[in-house]
Amino acid sequence: MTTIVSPMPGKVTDIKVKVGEEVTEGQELLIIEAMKMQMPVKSPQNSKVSDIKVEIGQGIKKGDVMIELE
Amino acid sequence: MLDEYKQKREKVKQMGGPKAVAQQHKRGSWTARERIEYFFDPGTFTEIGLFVKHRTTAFGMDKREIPAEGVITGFGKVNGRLVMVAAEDYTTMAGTFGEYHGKKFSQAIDLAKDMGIPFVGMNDSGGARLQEGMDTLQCYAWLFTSQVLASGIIPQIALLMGPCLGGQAYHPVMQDFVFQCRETGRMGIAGPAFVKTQTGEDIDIDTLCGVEAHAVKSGETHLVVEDDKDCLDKAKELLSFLPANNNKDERKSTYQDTGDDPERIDSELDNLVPEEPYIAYDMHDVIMRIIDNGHFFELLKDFAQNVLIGFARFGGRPTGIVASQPMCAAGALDCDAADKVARFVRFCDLFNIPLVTLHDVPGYWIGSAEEWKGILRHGAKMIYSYIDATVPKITVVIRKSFAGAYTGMCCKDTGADFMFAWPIAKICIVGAETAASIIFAREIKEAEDPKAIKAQRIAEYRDLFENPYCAAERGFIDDVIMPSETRKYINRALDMTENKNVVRPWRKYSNINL
Repeated sequence: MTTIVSPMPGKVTDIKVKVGEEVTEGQELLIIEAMKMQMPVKSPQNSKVSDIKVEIGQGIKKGDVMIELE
Repeated sequence: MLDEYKQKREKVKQMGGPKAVAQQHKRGSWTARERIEYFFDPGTFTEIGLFVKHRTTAFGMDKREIPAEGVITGFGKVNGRLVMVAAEDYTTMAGTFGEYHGKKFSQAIDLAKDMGIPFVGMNDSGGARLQEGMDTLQCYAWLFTSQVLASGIIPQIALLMGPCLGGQAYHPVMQDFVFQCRETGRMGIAGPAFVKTQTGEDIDIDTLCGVEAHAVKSGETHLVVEDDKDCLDKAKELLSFLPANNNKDERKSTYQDTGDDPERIDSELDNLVPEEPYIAYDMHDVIMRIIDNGHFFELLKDFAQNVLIGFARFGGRPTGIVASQPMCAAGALDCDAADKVARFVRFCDLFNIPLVTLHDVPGYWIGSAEEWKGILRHGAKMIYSYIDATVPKITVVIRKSFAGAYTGMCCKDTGADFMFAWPIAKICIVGAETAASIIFAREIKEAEDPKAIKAQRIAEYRDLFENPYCAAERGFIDDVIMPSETRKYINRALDMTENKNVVRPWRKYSNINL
């Protein structure tokens, strides 16, 4: 299992995948926004989304687990 | 007589003997002598202190022979330029640091300082030679004093090719640049065994002291290298950018004909950066297009990735580059980023290397995490170092430059000799959204349609202030330039500032927020 953690504090502005979805390396999983910048968070590997732990609009801290991949 | 001479010399050159040398090779490392052989131009190395010997008698040490005292010192030429070296020899009593080992080491630095040539240390040592007791402790003090007194006079580069643990590890960290071999370079204030007995923490040496620990977490390793050969190649490459000492005339010896036209126009740049300030991109793409032949020697690339630092050439002239990286943490400046930039700026200033700074920065990081870590005092280091620096400083605002970060990354009135901005630049105290929601807070709150009023006020503020022209009208920006012409403008500015001379009233030094 691989966990996708937030690289910075901010707010989740978009979630681009669903639980159970197959994802490829480099695919955008979600967008977080902070300091006037939208940062796409990409998948580090080919995998499948096993859990999404955040919602759109939710505030997050650096290091918070956002998505779990198989 | 000649036989004795040959015999004695040959014995020292054997280092720790064939068995120890084989062990060293088994670890994937070269011996100190092999490293020196590869590092210097063929036949140029002169060794000094070959016969230096310890004087310890305790614990049977009087019978112990340690060839060259476990550290080979001398000077030679690297690409035709003189360099001083001290290379620890792990094959002789594990390269342990004793009184005469330390003496050789610090005398090598003293000599390099007095003669104005760079010093390169190759670290590969099992630590303090405990049999020597107080004498080994004292020679750390000699070493630190030598290197600190040489700091700012000659460049000092640490190559962590083997272990360097305990108090000794302050030595590489206090040099200007630290390179760490991926598999063999290990650095730490204490190794795992000591950590375990003193604190109970169970941790292995690779995790505690390896490349992840220092290149990513602590920010002490400037460059991770694959092995000894890679390490020495990269050290030679770095040396090519550095003057031998802090004498102003010395920097001309680093100029090279790169064959890249200083006035080269790159039309791709006009469409490279997204105009929308909230879309991330990789600043490397900009840097590669404006420097000579795309040759960027990046340092600390895995630490505080929200800013980039490194050396490149403009018109053949070595230049320090500091750039925002919008792709990481919005390119906003946090404590680590500020530390990374400030020390680099000070290095460049000490050695008369001009600075080119590229802005795309929304501000310093705000919020409790950074506030409590001390973003104000860390951020202050950038402001101090840029204002203190007297080297030529050229700044280009690529896209945005807001708030304290505008001053922290060297604007015209915090030290830039020239400051240019691209037409898409937004230079202001804060972004329109923040500004409008504060100035018009009451109006928005009391409006029938707060959303509409807010949007209207943001748009007004944006039209009025979010552009490069407000700053240009006051002369805070020298010109708004086409992105394609960036290289040309930087080169002309560097030509113009080539003989810059700043005279300031005497003081011991500024009280930078260390």
